[in-house]
Amino acid sequence: MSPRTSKKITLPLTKSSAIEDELNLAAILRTIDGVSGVVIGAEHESAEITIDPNKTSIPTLIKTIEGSGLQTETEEVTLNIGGMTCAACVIHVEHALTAVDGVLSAVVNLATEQARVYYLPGLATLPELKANVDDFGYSIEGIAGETDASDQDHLARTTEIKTLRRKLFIGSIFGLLVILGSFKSLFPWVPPLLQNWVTLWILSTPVQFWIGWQFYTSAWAGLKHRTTNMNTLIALGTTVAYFYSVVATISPTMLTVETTTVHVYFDTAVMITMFILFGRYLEARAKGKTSEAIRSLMQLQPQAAVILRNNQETEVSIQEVLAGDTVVIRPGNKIPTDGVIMTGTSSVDESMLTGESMPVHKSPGSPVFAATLNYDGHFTFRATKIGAQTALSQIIKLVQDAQGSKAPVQRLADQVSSYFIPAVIITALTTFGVWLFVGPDPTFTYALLNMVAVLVIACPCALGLATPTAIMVGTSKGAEFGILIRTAEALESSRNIDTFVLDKTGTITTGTPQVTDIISDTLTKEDVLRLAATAEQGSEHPLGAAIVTAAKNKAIEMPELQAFMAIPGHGVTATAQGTLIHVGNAAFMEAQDCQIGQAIYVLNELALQGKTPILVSVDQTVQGVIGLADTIKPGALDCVLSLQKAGYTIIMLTGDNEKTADIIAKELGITTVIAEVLPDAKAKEIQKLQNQGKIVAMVGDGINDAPALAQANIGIALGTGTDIAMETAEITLVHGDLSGIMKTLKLSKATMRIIKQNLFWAFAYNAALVPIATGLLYLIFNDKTVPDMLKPLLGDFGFLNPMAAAAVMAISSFTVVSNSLRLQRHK
Amino acid sequence: MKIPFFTKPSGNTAVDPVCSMDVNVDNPAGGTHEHNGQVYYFCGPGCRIAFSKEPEAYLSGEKRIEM
Repeated sequence: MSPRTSKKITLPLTKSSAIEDELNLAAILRTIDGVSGVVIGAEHESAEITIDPNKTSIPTLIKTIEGSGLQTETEEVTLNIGGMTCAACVIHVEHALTAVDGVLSAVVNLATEQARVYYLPGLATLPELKANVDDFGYSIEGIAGETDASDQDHLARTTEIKTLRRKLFIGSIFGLLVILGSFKSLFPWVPPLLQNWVTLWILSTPVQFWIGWQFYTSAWAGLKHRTTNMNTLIALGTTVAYFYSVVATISPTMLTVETTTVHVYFDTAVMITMFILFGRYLEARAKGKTSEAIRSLMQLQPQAAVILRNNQETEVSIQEVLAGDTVVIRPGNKIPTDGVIMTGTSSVDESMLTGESMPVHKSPGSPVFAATLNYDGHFTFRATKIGAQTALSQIIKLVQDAQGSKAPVQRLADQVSSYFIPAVIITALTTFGVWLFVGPDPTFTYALLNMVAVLVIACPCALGLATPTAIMVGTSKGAEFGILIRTAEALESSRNIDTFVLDKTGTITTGTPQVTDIISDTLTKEDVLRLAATAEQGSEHPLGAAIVTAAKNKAIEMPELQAFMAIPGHGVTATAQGTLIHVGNAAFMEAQDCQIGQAIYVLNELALQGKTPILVSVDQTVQGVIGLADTIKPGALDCVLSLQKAGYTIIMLTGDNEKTADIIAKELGITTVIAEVLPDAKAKEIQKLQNQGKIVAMVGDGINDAPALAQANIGIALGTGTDIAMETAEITLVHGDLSGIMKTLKLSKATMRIIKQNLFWAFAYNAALVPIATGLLYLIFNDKTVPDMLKPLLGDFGFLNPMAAAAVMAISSFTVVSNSLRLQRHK
Repeated sequence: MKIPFFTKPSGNTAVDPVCSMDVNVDNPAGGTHEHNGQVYYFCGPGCRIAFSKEPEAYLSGEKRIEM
């Protein structure tokens, strides 16, 4: 066998319980024609096999290995394939994929343009697959499932805003023309052509059916569920106004009786539609960046990773990392995928996933997670979960699910409308009935005219402005206080909250460890701190950083280091001014042969208090102990007390351990603590409370809080926390100051009061005109006895002047907007 | 889906020797390949590359794929 035709391949094996199996395997493999050498790894984790690729193939080897009772590890991945135009392409791409070493099989689907590839981890790599597929005239466009639903969500939102803006723009042009044409007395200079009813009809038709179509679909959807809402009222009012006007245009005589002149209500229909649409646009624009939350979650994952291939470190983009690849992590790196540590030790900041404020020690066999931050160690790990399978992606999914499953808040405007509509319909039908039976001749025409008048006048166009304007002023007022309110629903529903769930790390506490205790029998506190800070000067570890900060705050000078060595996750050894200093945990001291002595009692005492004790040793003898803990934020106590005083139930929810949680809770007087909760469980705890009938507000700052923030009736994020939390939550307290919670509640109450007043005024003018619209006054004034003062409103006979409908719209809209502006004065 | 089940390309068409699809001669999506003085047209680069590797196998029908 010439060297040119021999090839070394390494197959990963699952560990066998018996060494004999492996010895057997080696013997069996050697019997295969084309196999020239077999070396089973020292840990029995892999088999290095030298083969002649012309005589045998990897699938044959695998069959043999599996036949001997052992397993090779296989992984699968779904790839997006580009450039496939015909059925033959499927076969070409499959060939291209399986031609790569380590690919066991590939199944290509032309319709979905995806390929499912089964491969041996560590052997087949994405760049190789890409290169080969390229050679065959196609392309791999990444791993499937990476393009998330959030993109579509984001697209849908921006499309909605764009559509609304376009409708608003075009509608305003039509609307303006209709209004100009409708009020001869106000705009006498308008050409007669525009005043022609047919022209008005043509101009208002697109507004009614194109721009207003969403009211029909929404009203119809509501009707199917036997509910009525604001849309029902709008659809009903504008439709009646429109069709009445159409009939009046085509055949005015049908609607003429001696006492009335025929009018068209195109202006009313158009104005109502446009006002409501404007309100919708204001809301849509203010609304949601929920998808942004998911977008930035995705970005948390580093975009590149250093992986080990053929014992060489190569930097690849994160999309090219496959399960089974060996990833190299250096101090300060973010971990790119989920995996299991193979070599090295370190401490890793997992607070974003678990909420635990202290770094977690990692050694071979420990799991690591994507997006967590490595502090001080250098290690390699085997990627086990990539892309959509990582813990991070699971959190993303939880956020999406929670957002999708959130029960819609019933808006006050809809609630009011749902009472108003039946009342209006009953009034309209009664009017029709009464005029039909007891009215003057021609009874049918009178009955119809008055019914239409009732329906048209009852539809308040200020209704569309009542909520959005108040919310707009409310949110801008909130911004002044450092409270960002993202959805209108949040302001509306915070009045119903009865339970506050507070995250611990970063919400109640500052989130970073701080020096709380310095204890020593032999040295002064300053000296202990000086020694520790000196040794920790170069440390990247947060505990070390906290010690250095404490020393700097006390203006303690630190001598220069002569030597420094860190044992990741344990401690540091340093020499300064000829003194040997050790700073670290008890295990570290023992390993360095330092005498701990009586300090062990101090250490245990601090640990009992939920603090992290750090021993400081000078020349091999422990001289002092420094206690570090995450401390409560100033203002947290005030916030909890005032919330409790206001009658809210307060619950603390944390991923941190129970002991630490209890200590913090006790200091604040919080009695209900749910500790050691995983991110998905956080959302479930909220759900549990909601199932008990509680209306829950969740306050949090971390990635691990995001699902809970989404699940809660209202999510409140802290501006000092992660972007994800802020973008998931409805409300953000920019300064991270918990006093913002009380301010939010007050603002919410004030805003709701304004909304209620607005709704009252929106309906009041219209409702007041309903009795006139029914034609009641005709029964009094039928002999032209209308007082001169009321003539503009009632005409000669006591029937409602159609001008009144437009006037009322203007007055109520003005009232509503100026009422909303009163919110500016809220303190 | 990129398979044009219902529309045949207008104008001059030729049959892709790999997948038997009709290809617009004036603007072949997969380009052309000359073999033994004859020009062949392809639905996509994939088919062209496959053909260029073993033209005889496709011309004889041995590897030709009927849709």
